[in-house]
Amino acid sequence: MKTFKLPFLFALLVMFFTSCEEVETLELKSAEEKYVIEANLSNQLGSATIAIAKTKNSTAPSAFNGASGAVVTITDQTGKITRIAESNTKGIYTDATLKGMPETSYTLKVEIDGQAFTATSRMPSKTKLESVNQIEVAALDGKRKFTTVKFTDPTGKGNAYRFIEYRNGVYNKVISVVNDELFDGLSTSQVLRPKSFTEETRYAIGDKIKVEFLNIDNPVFKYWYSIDKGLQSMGENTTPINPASNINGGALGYFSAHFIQSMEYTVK
Amino acid sequence: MKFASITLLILTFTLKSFTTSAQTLVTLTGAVENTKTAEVITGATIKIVELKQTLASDSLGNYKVNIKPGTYTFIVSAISMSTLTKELKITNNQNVNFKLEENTSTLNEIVISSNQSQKVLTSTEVGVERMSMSTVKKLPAIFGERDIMKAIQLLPGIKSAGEGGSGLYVRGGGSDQNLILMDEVPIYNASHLMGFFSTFNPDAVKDITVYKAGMPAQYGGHLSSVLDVKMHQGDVNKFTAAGDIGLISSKLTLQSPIQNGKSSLLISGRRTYVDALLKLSPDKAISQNTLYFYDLNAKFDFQINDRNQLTLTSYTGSDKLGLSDMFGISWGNTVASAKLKHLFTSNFVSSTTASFNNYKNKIELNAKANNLGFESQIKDIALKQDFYWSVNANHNVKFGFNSIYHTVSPGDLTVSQTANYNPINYQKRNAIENAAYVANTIQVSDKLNVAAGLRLAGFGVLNNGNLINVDEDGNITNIKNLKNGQLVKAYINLEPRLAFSYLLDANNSLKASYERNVQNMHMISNSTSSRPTDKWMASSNLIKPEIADQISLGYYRNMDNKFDFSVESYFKGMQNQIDYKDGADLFNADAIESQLLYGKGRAYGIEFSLKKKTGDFTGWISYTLSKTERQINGINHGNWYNARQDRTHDIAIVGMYELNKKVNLSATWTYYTGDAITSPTGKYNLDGQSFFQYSERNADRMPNYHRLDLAANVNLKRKKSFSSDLSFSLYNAYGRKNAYTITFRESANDPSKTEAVKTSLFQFLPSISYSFKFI
Repeated sequence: MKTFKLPFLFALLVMFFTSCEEVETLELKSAEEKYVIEANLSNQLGSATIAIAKTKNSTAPSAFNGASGAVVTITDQTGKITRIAESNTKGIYTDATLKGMPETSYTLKVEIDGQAFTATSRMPSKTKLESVNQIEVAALDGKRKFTTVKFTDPTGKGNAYRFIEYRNGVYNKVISVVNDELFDGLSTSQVLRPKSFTEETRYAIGDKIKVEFLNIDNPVFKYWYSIDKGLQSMGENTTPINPASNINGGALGYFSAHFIQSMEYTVK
Repeated sequence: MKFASITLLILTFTLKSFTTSAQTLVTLTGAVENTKTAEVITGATIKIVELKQTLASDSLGNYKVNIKPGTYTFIVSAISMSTLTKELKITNNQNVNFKLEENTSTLNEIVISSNQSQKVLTSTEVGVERMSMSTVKKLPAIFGERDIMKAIQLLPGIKSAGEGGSGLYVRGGGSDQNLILMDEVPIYNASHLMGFFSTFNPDAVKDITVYKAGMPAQYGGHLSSVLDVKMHQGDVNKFTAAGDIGLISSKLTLQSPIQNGKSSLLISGRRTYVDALLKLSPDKAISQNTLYFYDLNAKFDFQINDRNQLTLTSYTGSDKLGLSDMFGISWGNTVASAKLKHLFTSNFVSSTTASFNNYKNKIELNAKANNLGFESQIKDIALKQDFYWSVNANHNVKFGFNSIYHTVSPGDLTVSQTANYNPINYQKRNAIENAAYVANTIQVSDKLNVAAGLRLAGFGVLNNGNLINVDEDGNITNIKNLKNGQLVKAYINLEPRLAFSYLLDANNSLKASYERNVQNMHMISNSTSSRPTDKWMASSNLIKPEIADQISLGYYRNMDNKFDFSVESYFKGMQNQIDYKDGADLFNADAIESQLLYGKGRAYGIEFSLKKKTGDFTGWISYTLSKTERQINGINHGNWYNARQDRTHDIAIVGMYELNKKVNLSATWTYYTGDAITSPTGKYNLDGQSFFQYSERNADRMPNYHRLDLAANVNLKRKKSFSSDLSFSLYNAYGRKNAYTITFRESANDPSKTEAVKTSLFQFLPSISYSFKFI
């Protein structure tokens, strides 16, 4: 039911009533720093990338400030351990030899500053990406073109997907995930939404759209779903929360072992 | 042991008879009635001037007094009624009925009345507020829509759930913890348009009684309050038509006698036309949208004979919201009830009510080929039997039972044939809720009044489909297959209700109360605004009944019959409070229990109120100092945290002024501490973007809220057969930009800065409405 977006409703209401936005000065507290781990492993060779940093207080510069000196390993279900070394970029750990296999579980272990964090993720089997195309429908601000992604979900509940959309090579920063609760075992076309309904996000003829299609496991789905919900909470007076991480030991972030495919088309 | 002793106490009171010496006295009995509707008036005061004695009519409108033969002046008064003064010569035992006229001219009326001063002092009611629609009609109204649910937010201890909203928090309870009764039938979602309007059509509502504490035992099922809304009864004497034309809605109410002087019919409707305004928009994206709601109330009162009276009531109301052809949502309540009142004797009356309530919401999504509909509903079928026994002048007993069969459908997904989705029927949940109660009101002495009651509430969870169990991590551990209709789990709770009032002297009294309330229907929502998608769940094998225990203590003072002053304090402890886990999946309707956490709550505070009731200038000041917290393992590291509705200070000042016979003016000012919110305590980079980190739940505050509203009511015509009024309101008269929401984002100019973005609604919102009445 992830398709029912209530912010639409809210936007509709706000349109009719006079509303106004203003920047308010609120004093923000700071909490104890925590480690943030963003770890990905796909079916592509050399895809293992682990970014490690610390949280910053709300008034610090936003740029990625990597943490060096971590001992990072990925262990597959047979017990084979791969040490992931720090790259030339501070806090980014990579490996050129590792390649994930579908239907295999991987365990990530990060040791830094006397703290240890672990996470396990299972790469799902491949669901074939069938097509990526455009669709035009009436939206909040008139007719609009969206990208649809077509695939056939394998029978049996529990499959989950993530879509990453690039427009002319730029990631649109929309976190888009879905599970097969509603379309188990069926052929489906999922419509990808824009970051916001503004002129800026409207497709122009000739735009090159690339979609990466990821088969993800359920804990990773839950992570993205809850981080997306945190973003979506705007205007709905919901209580913001930290996303449900699959990392043990008190770090923020996630470890995702996923099967990745991609396709491109040009907007007509 | 505790319950046993309380039961004993109640029994003692029930059995004990209070004898009065009546050698030289005669007995005067009778009833107080409304001339227009032939309804009995409860809680009317009858003052016998010569004796300096004041009586009150009981729950059947009856009164009884033993006096010496002689000539007396009786002054009879009640809320919204004209005061009647009558001189009578009493020679022997006799029956006298007092008939009061409804106060049509709103002039010289007692503004807000927790009833007349004497009643305030002596009744055992602690934390009870009453407000009649005629008071609400004088107050400023947002969009010109007078709303009783918003007006009562000006009373102490009752807080608004958000800007312009009709949702309420009573003494720290959630907005779902109020029992909202429409003519005795519970309503689940009493709001329209995301909570901006209540389902109570102002033209159909007569009055509201709010119990913040000391709920009599006949009420149960919700933790924090009872909002007992009574709808108008039709005129038994003549046909009348009344209407109202406002900015966003119009209303029409028709009343007609069926049997002259005895039976009547009332029909009242309201329809908003925001969508008609949308159609005017040149922008196609706006003009294609749908947005409206309507309400239709009907009430049929039939006096079968002197002993039997039948009342049929129905309500249907619905909201429709549509976003061109892409998205649609509709929701609404349908309520119907039949009540038979039978008088065995004038001291023993039975009331039997059968009712039906259906709350439904439907979301439709059309995206070309994929046409989806998601529908959820709650259906209640209920039977209620109440007996009222006036044992003697000093002792009343109410007892009875109540049975409700709930069917909760969390959601059915329907799909068009061309859609590539599976239809889903989430498991329906059935439950049966039974309660039996006895409530005594006893005048122990001239000074001491006691109300003692006991309610036995049982909730049976019936099986429908599979029964799941969930472990601590929220994983489903086992699924049992049971027969449909089989009892899965039964919860039985005893709810003692006790209240005392003690008259210190003629003008001062002290009161105390204790009560336990149990709630078995829970609304699961992590948002403050009321939304049609808020999910209602019945208690199950995993969701336990919510329980609240409250003690209240109050002091009341009547100052020269001009002012009423009161102070009330309370402490409430709550068990089995429900919240979502972090990252919960709201739509996983089959195993919602796997997404929930349970804990406890506490709320305490002190409420001051000063009311001026007479003269050209009337009004009140109310102030509440309070604290509301929750403790749930898994949230905020298991530490106590502020509930969203925790507001330290809450002030309301209401003034009404009769400028002359034609014009009255009013102003209200409200102030409260900003809502508790969770603001970021840090940030981090991930996925090429910046995210905020949150640590302590609700540890920060929105800016404080304050607002002034103004209104003027002008009486254009007041003739025997026709009257009309024009009302003006200005909401938020000094244009304060109050925060409706606060969100956080990275500053576009300086990404190192975190900005708090405040969205505010409704600055300087004027409205006008015209109302008329043909008699």
